[in-house]
Formats: sequence, C-alpha cells, structure tokens
Amino acid sequence: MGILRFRVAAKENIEFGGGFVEFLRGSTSSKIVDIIYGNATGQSVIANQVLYTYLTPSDDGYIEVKASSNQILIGSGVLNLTITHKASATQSDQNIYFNFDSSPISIEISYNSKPVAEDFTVDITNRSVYVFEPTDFTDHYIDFDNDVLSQISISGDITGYEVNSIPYNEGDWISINDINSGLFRYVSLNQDTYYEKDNTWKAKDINGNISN
Amino acid sequence: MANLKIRIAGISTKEASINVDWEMHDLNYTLNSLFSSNIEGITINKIKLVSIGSALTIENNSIIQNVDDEILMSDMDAGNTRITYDHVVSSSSILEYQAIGSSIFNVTITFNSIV
Repeated sequence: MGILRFRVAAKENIEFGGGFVEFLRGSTSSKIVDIIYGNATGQSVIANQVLYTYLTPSDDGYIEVKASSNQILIGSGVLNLTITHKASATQSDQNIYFNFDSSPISIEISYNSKPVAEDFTVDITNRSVYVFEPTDFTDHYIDFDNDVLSQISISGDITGYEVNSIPYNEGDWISINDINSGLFRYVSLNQDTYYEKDNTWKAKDINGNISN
Repeated sequence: MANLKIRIAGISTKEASINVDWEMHDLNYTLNSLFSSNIEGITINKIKLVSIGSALTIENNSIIQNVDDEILMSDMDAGNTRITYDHVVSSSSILEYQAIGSSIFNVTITFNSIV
C-alpha cells in the first residue's frame, strides 16, 4: 500500500500596517484611515461592514470601525476604513486593536482640542489709537494641548479696526506675528463722550483648530 | 466666540481753586476733595500729570514727578503721594492733570497762597 498524505497549509495571516488617525476632542466625527496590507489571499469586506465597536454611540469614547467600501484584498494594497468616534473633552491618545480574518490590525488615535477664547475688555483713553499686543489675546486663550495661539479674527461692527493701517475686513485672520509687530489696532472715534465698542473674537491654534 | 469690548473714555473738564495756607498736604486729599464735590460715582485709577506750576513739587513714593508721569490712585490712597507748595516762588500756581478711569477728566487746580 502506498501512503496518501494531504498536506494542509497553515493559515497565512494578512500583514496589516498600522493606521493613524487624529480626532478633535469634545466632538463626534468620522474619519477615513488607510491601512496598508500584504499577503492577502482574496479576503473581502462589504461596505459598512463593522469590524470593531467600543461602547455605544451616546457614550463618550464610542468607536466604530467600518469598511469604507466593497473591497477584495489580494496580495498587497490599501484597506480603506471609516472610523466614527465620539471623543470626550479630555480624551487621551490611545491605540485600538482588532482582527480581520484573524489578522491583527492596530490603529493609533491621537487627539487635539479646539482652543477656548475668553471675554476681555480693553480700556483706552479718549480719541486714542489702541495698538493690540499678543498678550491681549494670549492672556485670554486656553488650549488643552498647550498649542500656541496662531491667529485671531474679529466679528461684528469692525469699524475702526485696522491691519497695517488698512481697514480690517470682518472675519479675516490676523497672525500673532502681525499683532506682535504692532499692525493690528483700533482707532477710536473723534468724540468727547464715553462709548463702548463690542465685538466677538475667535482664536485659531497652531494646528488650525478654531475656538467656538 | 468670545466677547471683545473696548471702552473708550469720555473727556470732561473740571476746575477747582484751593487756598493753601500750609506748606504740604497729600495730593490724595486734593483729589478726593475735588471729586467728592464734583464728580460723583466715577472710579479713578490713576492720574497723568499735564503741567506742574513752578511753585509746586509733586512726589510719589519719594520720587519727584514730572509732566507725563502717571500716579496710581492706589499710591495716593496709601499716602505715598505728596504735593509741596513753595510760597516763596509764587503766590499762585496751577496744576493740570488727567484723571483716568472709565472716563477721563481734564482737571485744573489753581493753588493760591494765603500765607
């Protein structure tokens, strides 16, 4: 008699590279993350196929990872995933781990926060020109990540505000460097009586996040 | 969005005349006397000296003050500010200053010697 032997190959895992994605604290949003893979043998995913969940959508920290589209994984390529995440206001950076077809995937999630702009008041003398200084704004600016203040903008009746001696356009971003150079100022009215000028301002941090 | 408020002071002019029969007294006394009788309810943070008559010498924290110098109200409240009138120099001398707070007052005080 001869020997009939089946040699059954061991399962070969897909080799996934790590993913990276950044979210804004205190908000819920969805991001696309690309995962590089190799050694795939025709595995498939269906659009919106859920690969990972953590908590429920109403919970701070909720995470759901889904396939972005129908994809068949052959050889090497890029797996497109969509991550929906409700990040708390104080969320720390983290890594999530899950398997697809028994092959491990890891995604690094980092966070950034919107800066907070605070109310402030400036007192100036009659008929004077007030040249803003960076500290006018940085002293009333908070950033969870300690990102520095990069730009500010003013809204409302912007009559009298000037940048480099040119009337300021509402909503334009002014760099802290320009403010530091004395280019942003308010020219008060030519009148004797006391008045108040009320505006709102926004802060943009160095990562481009804008205060509410 | 956060609020940005700019408060632009108004200008008023106040005048007073004080008879000086002794050589030295606190500027705080002068200021408060003037304001309590003329400008009720205004909080003044500091004064800025505009002109100082020849018979007058103003010191703050023992340092002689000149035109454009500013004196904090807190210094005056603490009794650190003094004014000296030299009766020999002139029988009358004028002090002008800006009282600066939520409004600005241009104040002129004429000191008349009655020694």
